[in-house]
Amino acid sequence: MSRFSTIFEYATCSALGLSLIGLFYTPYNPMEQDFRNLAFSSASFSHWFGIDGLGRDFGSRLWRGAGNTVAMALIALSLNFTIASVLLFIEQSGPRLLRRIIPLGIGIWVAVPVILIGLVIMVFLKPSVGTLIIAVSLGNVPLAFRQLRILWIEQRNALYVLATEILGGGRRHLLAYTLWPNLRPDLLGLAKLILAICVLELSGLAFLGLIGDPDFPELGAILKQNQAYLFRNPMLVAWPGLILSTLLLLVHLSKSRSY
Amino acid sequence: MNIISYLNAHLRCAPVIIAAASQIFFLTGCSRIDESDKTPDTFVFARGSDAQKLDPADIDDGESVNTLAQICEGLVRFKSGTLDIQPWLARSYTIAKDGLTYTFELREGVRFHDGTPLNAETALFTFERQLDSTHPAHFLKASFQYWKNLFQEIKTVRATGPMTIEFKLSEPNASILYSLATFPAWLISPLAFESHGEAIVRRPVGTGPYRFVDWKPNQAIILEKNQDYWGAQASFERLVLRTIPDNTVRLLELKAGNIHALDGLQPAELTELFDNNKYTIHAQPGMNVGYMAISNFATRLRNPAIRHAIAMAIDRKAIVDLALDGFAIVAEYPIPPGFLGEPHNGQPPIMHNPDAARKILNKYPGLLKRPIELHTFTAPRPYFPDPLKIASLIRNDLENVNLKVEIITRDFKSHLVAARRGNFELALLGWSGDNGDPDNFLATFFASWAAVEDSATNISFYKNRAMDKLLIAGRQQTDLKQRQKTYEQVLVIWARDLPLIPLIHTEQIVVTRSEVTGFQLQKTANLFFGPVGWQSL
Amino acid sequence: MIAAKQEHKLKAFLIELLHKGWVLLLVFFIASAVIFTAVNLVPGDPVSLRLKNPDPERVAAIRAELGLDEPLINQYLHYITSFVRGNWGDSLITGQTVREEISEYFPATLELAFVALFLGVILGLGAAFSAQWFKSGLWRNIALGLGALGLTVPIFWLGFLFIVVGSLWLGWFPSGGRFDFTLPIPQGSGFLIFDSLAAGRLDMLGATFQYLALPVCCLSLYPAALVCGVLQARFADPRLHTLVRALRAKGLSEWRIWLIHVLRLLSAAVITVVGTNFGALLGGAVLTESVFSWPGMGRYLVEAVLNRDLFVVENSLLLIILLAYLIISTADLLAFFSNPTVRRHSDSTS
Repeated sequence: MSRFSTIFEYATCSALGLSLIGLFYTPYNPMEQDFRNLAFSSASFSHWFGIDGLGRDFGSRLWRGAGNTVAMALIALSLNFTIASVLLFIEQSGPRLLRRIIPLGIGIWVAVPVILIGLVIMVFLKPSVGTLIIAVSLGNVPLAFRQLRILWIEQRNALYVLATEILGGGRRHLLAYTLWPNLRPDLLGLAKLILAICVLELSGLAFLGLIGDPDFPELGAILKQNQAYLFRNPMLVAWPGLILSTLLLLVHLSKSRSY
Repeated sequence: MNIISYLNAHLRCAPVIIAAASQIFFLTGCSRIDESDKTPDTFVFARGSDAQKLDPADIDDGESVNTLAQICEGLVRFKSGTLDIQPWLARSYTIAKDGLTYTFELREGVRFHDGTPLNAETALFTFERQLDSTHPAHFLKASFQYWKNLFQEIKTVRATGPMTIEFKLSEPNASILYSLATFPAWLISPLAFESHGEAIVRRPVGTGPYRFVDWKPNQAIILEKNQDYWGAQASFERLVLRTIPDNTVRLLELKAGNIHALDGLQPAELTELFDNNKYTIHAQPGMNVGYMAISNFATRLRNPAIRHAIAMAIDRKAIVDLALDGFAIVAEYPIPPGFLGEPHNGQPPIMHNPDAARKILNKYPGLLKRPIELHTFTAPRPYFPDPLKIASLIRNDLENVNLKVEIITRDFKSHLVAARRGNFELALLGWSGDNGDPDNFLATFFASWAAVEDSATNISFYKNRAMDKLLIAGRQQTDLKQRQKTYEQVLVIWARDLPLIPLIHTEQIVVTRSEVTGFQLQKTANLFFGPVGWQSL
Repeated sequence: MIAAKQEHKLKAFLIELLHKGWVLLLVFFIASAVIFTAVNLVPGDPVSLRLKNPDPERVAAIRAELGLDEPLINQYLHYITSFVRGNWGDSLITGQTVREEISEYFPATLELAFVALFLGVILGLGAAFSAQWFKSGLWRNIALGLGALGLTVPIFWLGFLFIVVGSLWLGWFPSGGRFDFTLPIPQGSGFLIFDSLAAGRLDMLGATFQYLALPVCCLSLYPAALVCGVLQARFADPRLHTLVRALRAKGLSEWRIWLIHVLRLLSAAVITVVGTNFGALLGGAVLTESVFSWPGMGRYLVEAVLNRDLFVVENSLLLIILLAYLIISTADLLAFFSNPTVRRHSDSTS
């Protein structure tokens, strides 16, 4: 199992990396409708994935789309971890009142589906990439908070931590050399889980049309834009979904089994 | 403890349930519409969204109108497929010489679905409730928008005999007879209001070939044959208007045989059905125009030279080809082709020429300081089946002449709010004609009285006295030649100032099974299923 | 002794119930306050949005009728008291009462979600148990595949696949909608399965299931994956194998061991994972509804939010949040009482 995990770990990293390259390089400009006369043409030597309905190189759009999806999910993930850690910090060392209120608030928060949180946010922010990221990162705060809390409490009370403390390790030493190496694999696993959830939810919300700019290359939005061609050019619908599923499958296979 | 045994019990019967369920699937078969030769009992039509309400006086969406088109009828109607007036619930009508008095002689022996006989008194109800704001059926929450727009010249309406009603106008209006054929003037039963009160907006009672039975919101509206119909009886026992929001699903339901006809497909989705003789595609140019408005409040776009350059940059042919797959024509003027006022000679005012546009725009570097905002919306409308795609194409065209454009997408309602405040630089919108009169388009777009914040239909907020004068004159003239000249002048002023750029006239598309007979597209885009029948292939 | 045990159980249950009730109250006040603020922060007056020709007098009259001209705090109080009373106002778009509309759409979503949940749990249990039971690579791979499928394939894309395969290629199932309207419509609760059973019509029941089939399959993969994953994690626990060996030594049949004893032991985990993810399931239902044109709360709510349909947004959001919370707490309570180890633990502390 561990051997496979490692292989998938490398595969995931390279897939994510490859996607992110799409942010900086694509064979053609994914926004320019340079090939309007070739619209709907299928794969050819110069256009490996064909041309979409508005005359853009579809391969370039997919590549940039994968890059954007991954980048948005990564931003959402870091935002989510930051908020969750701040909440955890406050809960662990803040005033008594907050210590009681925060877990209660999280308990309520968890009851609200992320899509609904997205909708409520849409009531007062206009649909855009940023709004989507905010909705997704906020929606998953309870999950991150709860898991981080479990990890922290488990590690904080572990015997070896106590031992280091008794031996006179300073706060920083404790954090850097004792807690961190033990927290790292679990944190990484949690990060992968939340990354996968963010990718799924971002593309879901984009599919519902909440991303604003219809041309923004994001896999869910690309799928939405080509939905009308499901019968005429099924590949225009199949590719974004396949790429999304592959990315998620790799992330899923590479994360440790404890989640 | 109990839960466990409950769960266990369920798990034990699961295979039985699954077996039973799968048996039911195969017993009932899949396409439940009869493939045999005989006429089906039920005719099923599917569309993309549901009706909003069923009060002819207070609706503005096509789905509500097309539901009521089966249930209600007017004093006059457009002769099927044309814009000619035909007496309908009125047997005949007369117009006084001064053009101020219209008299209608009602047809005998017509009954509303609740049994109320049609006579002068019962017919008046429909008009009085819209005219008189103290009428008990002049509901507070209703806007009566169309009455204000189309019938503002009607001063009084009264019964002059048991079967005659008379309209008095404050000033002549050439189009009022045509307006009386449109849906706000369709008759509803006063008895229904007496017995159901405000609930009539959800259970209409008219005189039409089908009567209302049930409404499952966002699923289906169920109608049944009106056995006492005064005209030709309907061919089906039941008529079901289903709501299937997703285009793909709607198309598949047609192919599976679960529905008999549908509308609202994007042209791109029709290609499959082209060579299939099981289906008939009804398509004809609609009485509509999809346009891009340029707000008067966008000061940097006020210069007519810039407006012309923008118009020249847009490749409208590409919009027709790529966004509508040819089911549209390029709009040269802000009125549908063939309308009164359309110039018959000379070059159209807007020609596609990106090079010339680039040359002009290079003189105005101020345009590049920040992106130009192009506002668009998500839900398809008859004049723009895919507004997002059209915005994409326009953005690309404008970026090709070195402008920067940001697309702002909203749902249709919010888009309308922004548009009616003139709160945009460029905005996509359209208009579907009601009565086939040029005034219904040109006054809507260019009159200063239509440029009132929050309710503007002149969303460019274009104000010009000469234009206003011409529009008022055109409305009151009855001589066709004179009117033609007036509206030609209106179009000259429009082409000079260019407050909006007309883009396309889309075709109305309805797909039916080939067995369906008697279906005819209307200029007003209303769908009438009363005459529809079934003829096996 | 037994009586004492029962009494203790009851006491623990009551304490837990009281706690949940107290939090439910908190949820109610916090959620309603947040929703109310959000709705009132929005620019754009909902009333003038509604009217195509909003003249100020008319808008003022309607606002007065709806009580929108009162101070905000009164409006809020009015909102929560009328929510409790079940008087949820009228939709500004359709003019129908929100209560009537919700009673049309909510059963559709709940039917979809619960049938999918039911099928998902069965699929998940089936896959996990088969993998464990038959010890064969095939079953293990099926279980792994199910887990991966449910968690990694975007539900809206899966929906398209199901439509293409189930409807276009096989032609077995309708691709969308909820009922075949050439049949008479079952009346009653709005749950078509119950209504058609009550009407005693097999054809109605058949149509109901036929229309349910594709969306339910699509939505059920997510709970199936969750259940399957949780069970597989538990099966890896060596203590479980000790228990199985002990039961075998007692001479019980394999069937009895796995489907009664082991399942009972693991049901708490299943209930918890299903309960805590009910919110996500509802989210998935929104997407499923969009793909399959299912006439449920998802579309209703999205449209209400986009059209600023004040009372619909306020009341239905609150209702869904309360429901999701109720289901999560019920799952907690169930897990608490169905797990013998938890129970024994609380016994020993007394």
